[in-house]
Amino acid sequence: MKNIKHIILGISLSLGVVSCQDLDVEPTGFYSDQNFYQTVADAEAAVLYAYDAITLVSYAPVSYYFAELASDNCVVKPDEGADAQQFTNWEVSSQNNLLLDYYKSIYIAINRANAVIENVPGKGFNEADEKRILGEAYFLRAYNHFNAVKAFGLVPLQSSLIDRLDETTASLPIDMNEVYTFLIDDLNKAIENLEVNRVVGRADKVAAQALLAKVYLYAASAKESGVPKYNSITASVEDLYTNAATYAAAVINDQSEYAHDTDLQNIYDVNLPNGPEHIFILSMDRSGIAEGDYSKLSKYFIPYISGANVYLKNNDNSLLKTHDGWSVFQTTSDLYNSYEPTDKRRTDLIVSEVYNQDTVSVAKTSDGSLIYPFTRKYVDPEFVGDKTSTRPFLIRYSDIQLVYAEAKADLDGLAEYNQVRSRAGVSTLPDLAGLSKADFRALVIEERQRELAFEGDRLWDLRRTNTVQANVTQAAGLSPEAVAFYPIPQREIDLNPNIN
Amino acid sequence: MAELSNESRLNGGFTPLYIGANDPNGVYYPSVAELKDGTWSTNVRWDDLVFRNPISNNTNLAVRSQNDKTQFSLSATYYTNEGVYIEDDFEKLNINLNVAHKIFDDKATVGTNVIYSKGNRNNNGGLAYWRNPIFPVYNDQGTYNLVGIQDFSHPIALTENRTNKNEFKDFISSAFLDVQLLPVLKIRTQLNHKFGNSVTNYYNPKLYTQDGTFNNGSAGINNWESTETISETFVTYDQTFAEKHNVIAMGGFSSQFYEAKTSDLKAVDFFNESLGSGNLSVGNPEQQSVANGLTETIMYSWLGRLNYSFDSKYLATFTMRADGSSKFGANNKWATFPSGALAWKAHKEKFIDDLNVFDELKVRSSYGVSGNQAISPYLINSRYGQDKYFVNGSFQTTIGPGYPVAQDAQTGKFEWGGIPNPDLKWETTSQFNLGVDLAFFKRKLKVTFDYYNKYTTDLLRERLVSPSSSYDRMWVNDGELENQGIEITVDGVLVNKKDWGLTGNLMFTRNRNKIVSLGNAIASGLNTDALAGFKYEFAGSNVEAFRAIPNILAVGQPVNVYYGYRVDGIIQSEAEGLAAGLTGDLAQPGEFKYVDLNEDGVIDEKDRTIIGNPNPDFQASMNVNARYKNFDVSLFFNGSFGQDIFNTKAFSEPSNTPLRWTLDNPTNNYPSLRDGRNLRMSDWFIQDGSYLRLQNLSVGYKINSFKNIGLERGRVFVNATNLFTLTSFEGYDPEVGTDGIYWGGYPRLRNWTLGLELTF
Repeated sequence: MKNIKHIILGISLSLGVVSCQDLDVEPTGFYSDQNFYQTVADAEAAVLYAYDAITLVSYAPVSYYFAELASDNCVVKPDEGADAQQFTNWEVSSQNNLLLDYYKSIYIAINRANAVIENVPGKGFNEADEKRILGEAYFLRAYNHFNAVKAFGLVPLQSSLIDRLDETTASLPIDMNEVYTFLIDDLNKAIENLEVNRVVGRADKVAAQALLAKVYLYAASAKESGVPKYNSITASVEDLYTNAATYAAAVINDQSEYAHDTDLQNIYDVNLPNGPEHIFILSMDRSGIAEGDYSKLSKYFIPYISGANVYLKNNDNSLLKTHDGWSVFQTTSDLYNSYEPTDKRRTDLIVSEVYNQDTVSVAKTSDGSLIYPFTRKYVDPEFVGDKTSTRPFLIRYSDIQLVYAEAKADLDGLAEYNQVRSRAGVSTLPDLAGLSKADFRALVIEERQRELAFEGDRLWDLRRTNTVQANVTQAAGLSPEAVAFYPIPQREIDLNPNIN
Repeated sequence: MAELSNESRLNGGFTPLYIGANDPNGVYYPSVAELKDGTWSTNVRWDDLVFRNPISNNTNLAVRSQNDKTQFSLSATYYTNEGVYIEDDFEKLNINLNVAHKIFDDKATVGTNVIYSKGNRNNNGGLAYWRNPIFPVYNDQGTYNLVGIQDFSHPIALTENRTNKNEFKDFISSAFLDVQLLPVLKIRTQLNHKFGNSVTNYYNPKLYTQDGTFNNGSAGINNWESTETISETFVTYDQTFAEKHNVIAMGGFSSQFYEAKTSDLKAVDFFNESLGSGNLSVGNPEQQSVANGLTETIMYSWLGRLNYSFDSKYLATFTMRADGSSKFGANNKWATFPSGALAWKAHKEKFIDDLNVFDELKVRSSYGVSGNQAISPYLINSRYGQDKYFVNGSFQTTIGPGYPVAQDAQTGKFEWGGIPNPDLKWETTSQFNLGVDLAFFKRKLKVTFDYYNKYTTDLLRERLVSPSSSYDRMWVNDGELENQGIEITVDGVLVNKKDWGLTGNLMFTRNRNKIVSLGNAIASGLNTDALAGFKYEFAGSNVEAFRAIPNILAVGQPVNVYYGYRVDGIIQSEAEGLAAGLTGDLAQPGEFKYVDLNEDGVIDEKDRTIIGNPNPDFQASMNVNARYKNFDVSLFFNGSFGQDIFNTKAFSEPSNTPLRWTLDNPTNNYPSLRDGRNLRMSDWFIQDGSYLRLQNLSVGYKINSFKNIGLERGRVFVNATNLFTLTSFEGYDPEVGTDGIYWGGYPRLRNWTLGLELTF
């Protein structure tokens, strides 16, 4: 019919009947700011778009180049690209593409969250839905900004949706105090709006409290240990620690949805993303069609073995099938040796020998046929080709237990610390005799390395305690600024006259 | 080959492959000794299996007839074309009906032209002619010999098991009415309607293909349909006053509607493979995917033209057109484009004619403005993106600001767009032209000379935006480009006798382009060259092996110059490498010795500079036609001179890798073979691409002696293309794209055509 209309219109136009208003074509192939956010379902889809940004190939996988490769946990495969080598070698330049990927992806997630914050209020949705959706958006805005602050230091704080050219030249905040005020403010709004409501892949009130505890802890330890720029934070170190402890305590004491999981391998069972530990976990599924819908995280952590499928031995001697990997993130001997030989996090979670389906050894580290011991935190026995459901663990209960331990640095904290250690089958401390608060906090940081290894946290712990140079050989001798922050990507500096 | 591979892997710190053992995939690679002494005798010529001598066939049948009132023709063409790869076939049938009929006492003509064509393509291109020859086609069990569990390049397995077929139909029709209203006034109105449709069916089997292996079989149907309706009406007034003043005035209007629809269906995970893409709903119901799209554009044009000539000596033309396009912003949809031309036929002046030199001497000059709207529609509109997130056990659709405008095929990473530009407007080019047409010796020698200068403003291009905005790029009108050049054509009739003749044609063109501006340097996010300080941006495709985009657009430079490092031979000792500012692997003997252009003691991105220009200095062609009695011969040469080619295969072909640097052969011309070397874009890979090619040679014989069987005319001919090429370029074919990148491949085909034309 439309074509017939065009033909008739064409003829009449030829005869001179012209209406020049008709050069407007209404696009029907996509939503726009003109026709979206009309229903709660729209708002739901909009906030999920913000979560989905974290699954981008340029975001979640890249976060491990920062936190694991640049720390003492992993080194990169020798023939990986130059950009990856720069992380291990502490030679990251402002032109590094992974740096740009991470930075850009963070702001993609932020802009998607801002779209929700700007468009959802006032649409007359029912209040419970509106509060939940807004609360999640505030959480995500803070979560992503915090990632940027940990990686780059002072970065633009985006508090509104960007959809015009003249909005693309953000300025830097004045100092860290402004940054942390912004983060804390957003997380308080998230806590206010959210309820305890677990959905795998989404954040609720507990996640917001947990993240706020981590934000306070970062500020406290960074200010205390003299990390550049953190001196501008006006709150005292003491108050910051107290706040960190308060919000961590809320996570530990004020809810019953999340808890300490006493079974170590359960935590990393790819089919149990709703296990007690997972306060905030990214959601990806092997049935997805594009990478990001499914995960290839296993490929990064598992070594190249034979190009074929291999089997890992479970505690009960049964076998767990997996594909092999690309050997990108290779466990350092420093990390491996940081565990006592009987530490279950080494014996049960780090693989030194793999088998075929008949339990015949295929490769092992002892003779070099397995090139490094690898983590089984990212293993999916139901993988399809390269597709897996292996998920980044974004906030885990044990992480918050250790946040609490570090922030309190007293006997209450020691109890949480001991619970984490005793699950791993290693000795606990009866009391804090002979340990200053600083001594105990140093022990907690060491424990965090062992507990949260390969989970994208280590570099941030080293940075906030100003101990990068002491722990990472390749960073020794670098200036405090050089280890505290990566450079803002060159493209931002080139394109944004307000940043130089 | 095996020896070189071993050497390269050893130099890279990897275990060599050809050592008579299983590789980590469990694939046995024979040792070099086994290959040499014939113990391992398999040596498959994959190129012989994969390529063929393709044949194409074109049969054309036409019936034409006319009388005082009616002209009519009906023709049919059947065309088959084989690709160079086996089973890569194309076939097309074309039917064309053409009728024109005079009405109203011959004062008006109505006519129609209808073309219907349909065809299909069996797509089997890109097979692995480069596959390792030591592996047999079939294994001992008689099935395809696959190398490892992820072997997706077996050409025979793919040919016999993969489906990728496309069928298309085109319907092109036009109808017109010409009316001579008055002796001086004519009106023509025309309506064109074009409909095109294409359906692709594919099936990727569970074995042999990556998509099929990862998805347990994958199949899909891609539909595409487009319609275009153009309607135009012109009125022409043509009168001569006082015998010498001729005026032709024309005015008209045209409208163009275009619409394209696509729908793609895909399913994966099939029980067995017997249905192919025949029933997608039997795939895994949770993994079916659909996608569709609709694109609409509208364009209106008003056109007016005035021609005036005095005494056929002085000619003047003025044109004004107004174009409106739906692609541009509300206030910028319409633009007007004036142009004017003057010409003087000097040979008609008595004082020139009296010189008895020129048969023609015409001087022409024109100046005009034209517009370009070659961008996608909807860039003025806000556009949200969509994706999927796995919540509560299933994937949910997610929507929001920002959508992917490009994806890197290697890494899967996206580039993002989504900022609308409601101010987008026409890109305009003003062109000045000055030309002379000359003819001498009773028009046996004709020379045409043209000079032009084109200046483009409001360049339509994608600029980068700061990453903290969450977008990568947006479309803007930004930048200025200048092109100037000359074109010279010489036509000569050297001999023209009854039994034999000889004519020739020479063409010479030279174009210089220069980027005058890429917009505000800061606002468009241009890079700055560390040495010379010019502003530039990378443009074009990424070359994965170099992890670099070779071409840049640089202010003050020609379009697409190459940007990278300079190489000064090969490092012969580590001391030499370190002294050159290199470190680690790159400082070892046998590596490229990059030049520390800024002399700061380190080789880094600041040492990059412009290292070549893919634009030719000039291009030329020559055409020679000779005939003797019933025979005719024609030759066509063309050539392009002075352009540089970025040869990505300068050190990866069997012809150049044996020339490698080794301790025994400390050459300065080639590096050592080393697996895992991080190549840098450098002038070592830039080669002169000048060439001269015999593009076409044809020999024919005219048949004129079969009148008794009703044959009016006939001709048999043999035509050959691409007979030889003179070039110093090392790759197979110096004819590359405008970015000058040579990607490898196989030699350009030599095409032989045997033809027979009969007219009854």
